[in-house]
Formats: sequence, structure tokens, C-alpha cells
Amino acid sequence: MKITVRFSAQLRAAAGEAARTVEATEGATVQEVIQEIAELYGNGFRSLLLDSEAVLQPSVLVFADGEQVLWDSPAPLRSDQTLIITTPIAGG
Amino acid sequence: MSASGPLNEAERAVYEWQLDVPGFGEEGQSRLKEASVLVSRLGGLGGVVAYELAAAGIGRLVLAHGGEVVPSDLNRQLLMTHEWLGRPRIECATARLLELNPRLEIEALGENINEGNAARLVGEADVIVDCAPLFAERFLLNREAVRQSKPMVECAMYELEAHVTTILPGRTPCLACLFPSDPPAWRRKFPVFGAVSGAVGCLAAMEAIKLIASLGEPLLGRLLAFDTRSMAFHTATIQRRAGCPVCGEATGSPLGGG
Repeated sequence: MKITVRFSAQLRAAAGEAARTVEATEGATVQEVIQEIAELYGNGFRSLLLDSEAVLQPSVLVFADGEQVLWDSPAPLRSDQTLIITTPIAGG
Repeated sequence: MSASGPLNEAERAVYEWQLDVPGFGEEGQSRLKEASVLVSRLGGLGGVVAYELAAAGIGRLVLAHGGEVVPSDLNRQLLMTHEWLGRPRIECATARLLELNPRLEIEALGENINEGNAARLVGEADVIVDCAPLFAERFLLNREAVRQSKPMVECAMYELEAHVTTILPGRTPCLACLFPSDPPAWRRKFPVFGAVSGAVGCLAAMEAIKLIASLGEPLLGRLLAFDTRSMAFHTATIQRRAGCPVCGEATGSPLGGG
């Protein structure tokens, strides 16, 4: 099934593109797709997204269909779903 | 929040266009007049927040911003002017706000939020708007807002993107629920256009007005994100983090009816 992942803030800059569509197996979770995506753009991108144990960085936000997905709650994906991943941003 | 006071004729003349907004009226305007809002930093975000609140007729602003006006402020910090280069930002901002609204009461502090001033400044406000660029300041303000059960509008921007959400301690996620630790990759200097910070500053000011005047539906438990590259806006629900060390024990908030 096709899943589109949109990158926001520093992740977008590190990826060099705004989104990537990937092919995921039936029953794959949000967490599995993020771990796959993390390997696509080099170490800078990966370290923004995951820690050394391949767990989501604590301040990265993930949304699926308008709802936040918490890393500790495996979330099954549906075909043609879009994920949005963003790093923290601030004022100034 | 103080009791609502009546408007005088001069105030009715200034605010007549917004007094006709359904659900607002004289009651809403009087609530703004009696309210006090803390704005942390008056840069590209906070300057616009303060200016819009001054224009809308907020009664009192508590402002915290250190440093002097430098050339790189002037692409986005709309309260700062070329004429004030090298002089204190807080004085420039105060002068500009009073030019717009001489009825406004301002408590101005020429320093940023820190351990020594956070509790007192939060204690003087009905609503807080967090516009600081450093997470240490933002976390400190969040901690005090939760401890004192004060609503806080959170706004942020990066490049052509921006976020805004409204925190009601005990009812919605707090900043530490969203970002439990200082993001190591965040840098003080980051790319941004003034029109982006200004846009999210206007939205944050509207959130403060809505909270004070009980108008519309604030972004409670929702994060609004937009990207001006594509002009795509989306809103997503956000969650309290179980065991959050800042808001885990908090329940309810005065303006939220919780």
C-alpha cells in the first residue's frame, strides 16, 4: 500500500524535499514506516528523526489523518494515508 | 480576571467596527479592557501579538524583552524601527504601542523571561503568549503557566511554516507534553520571513482575544500548522503525555471552565 510522508521544518530542509511516497506492507505501522524513511536521507536527517536505538526523538511530532500519533502506541496504517512529521520550532 | 468595566464614548468610537462582531459586543470589549496579557519577547512574533492586542483594546500588557535594536531585527520585528537602532528594544516597543493606543497600561521589563522573573510576570497576567525563540525560556514560562493555572498561547515559526496552539493547564497538552526535552538541533538563529511571523502573531493575538472574551473556539488540544509555500493549513489533535512532569497533576484552568 502507498503511504505519503510529509516533512516539516528542519526535517524538510534535511530531506531536501517536502514529501516522499513509500510502499508499505499490509499491516505496517506508523512506527515502521518512520524507521524506514529515516534511512533514506543520510545521518543528518536520521538523527533529527530517531535516536541511536531507532526510537523517535522525544520532541518530534507525528500526525496521521489529523491526529497525533504517540510512538509508544503502535498505529496501523491504511492505504493512501498521509503522515506529517515535524521537528520542534519556536518564536523569535 | 477583573470584573468588566463600562466603555466610555472615546472607546466606543475606536472599537465600533469590532463591537459589531457577533458574540463579542460591549461585554467582550469590556473584558479586553479589564484584561492583562503577558507577551514574552517582542520580536517578529511577539511584536505583532502586542500590536494587535493594543489595537483591539486590551487594558494592560506585561512585556518582557531584552537587548537593543539591531539591523537584523528589522526584517520582521515590526515594533522596532531604524531610528531606534542601538537603543533598548523594550523602550522602542513601548513607545510604538502607546502611539497606537495611549489608553494602554504597560508594564515593560527590559529582560527576557528567566528564573528570577517568570513567576511574578505570569502572576500579573490573565493570559500568556509565548513568543520566545529559546526552548529554555519557553519551558520556564510553561512551567509557571501550569503552576499558576494560566492559559498560554504557544506560537512558533520556521522558514515559511508556523504553528500555534492554546494551552489550558490540566485540560490540554502543555508545552512539555509536546516537547519533553530541549531539542538539541534547534538553533537561536533560523530562517524566517517577517510576513510568516506576522501571520502567526495575528493568529496568536486572536487566540488571546477569544480566551478573554469567550469568543469562538480556541485551539484547545489542537495544533494549527501552516506552510506559506503552498498556503496549506491543517489542524491536528494533540495529546497530553502520560506522566508529564510539568502538567501531569494539573486539573482545570480558570478561563476554560475545566
